[in-house]
Amino acid sequence: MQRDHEEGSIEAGLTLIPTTAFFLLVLQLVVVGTYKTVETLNLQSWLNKSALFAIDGSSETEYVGGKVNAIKSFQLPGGGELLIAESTSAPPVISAFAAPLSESGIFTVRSNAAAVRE
Amino acid sequence: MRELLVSRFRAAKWRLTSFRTQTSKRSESKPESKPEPESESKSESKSESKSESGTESGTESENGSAVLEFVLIATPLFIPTLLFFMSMQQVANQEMQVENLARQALRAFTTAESVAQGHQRINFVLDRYSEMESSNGKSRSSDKFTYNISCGGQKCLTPGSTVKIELYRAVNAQLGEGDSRKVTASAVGVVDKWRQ
Repeated sequence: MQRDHEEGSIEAGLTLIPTTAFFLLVLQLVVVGTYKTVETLNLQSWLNKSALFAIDGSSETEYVGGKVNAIKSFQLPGGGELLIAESTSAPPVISAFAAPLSESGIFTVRSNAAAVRE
Repeated sequence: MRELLVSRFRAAKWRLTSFRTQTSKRSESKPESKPEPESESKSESKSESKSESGTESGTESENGSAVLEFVLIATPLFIPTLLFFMSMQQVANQEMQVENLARQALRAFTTAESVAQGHQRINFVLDRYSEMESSNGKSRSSDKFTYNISCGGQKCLTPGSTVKIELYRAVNAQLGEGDSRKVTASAVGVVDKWRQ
């Protein structure tokens, strides 16, 4: 009786555990991609607001969801200013399988945005 | 000759004993099943034992095969699907960035004093953005911007005129170096009516 219940468990273990790990890693990649899109949108929104309302972004600035590493300002020919911002953020880790990779910084998300200030 | 007969008799006796043991085990595990009548001949019981043992070994050989087949068939299908979705996500992200750049480039153009200066400003915006990306190691030499400006039937940069910009960028897809996709974005804006 007991032996009958254990039939196939080795095969299931050898295949289902790596498959589950693979599935979780894929899910983590999907989360990272989506997070990058959201981060880019947030950064663009923040930079457009700062261009409209003349917020000075000379130092490290925090916004919703992430942190702006650097804002570069360039004088446009004929007047005006071009702001280009770069942000770095770490997406959430959804499983312990991806935690070592996350600590190495492989999932770090970088976003860029540009805005014209008149 | 005698030894041969003795050995055959012993083998037949061992088979019968093992069959009885198996039958008694099954009757213990399945109380609903009917016990076999004792009056059956030895030849019948032998043939039944053969067929049952054949069925049992077939079932045992198929244990776990559904999981194995699922993994072996599904995983090669999942990997191209994953690559496809990642490539699509990358292209969608690029389209979003190009759309934002098109809006900003249009703003730079419509606030210029002349058309020549407007083109200069657009090139300036696009070049600085490409530099920023290449400093992060994100863009490649082939990821260059091209644009097209149309002002309808009116003269460009006259107050109240409508300006449309179409911005293009060739993006290398993730699946191969030779496989490139053109990302397009357009933006429409109006030149300030009260500009001097």
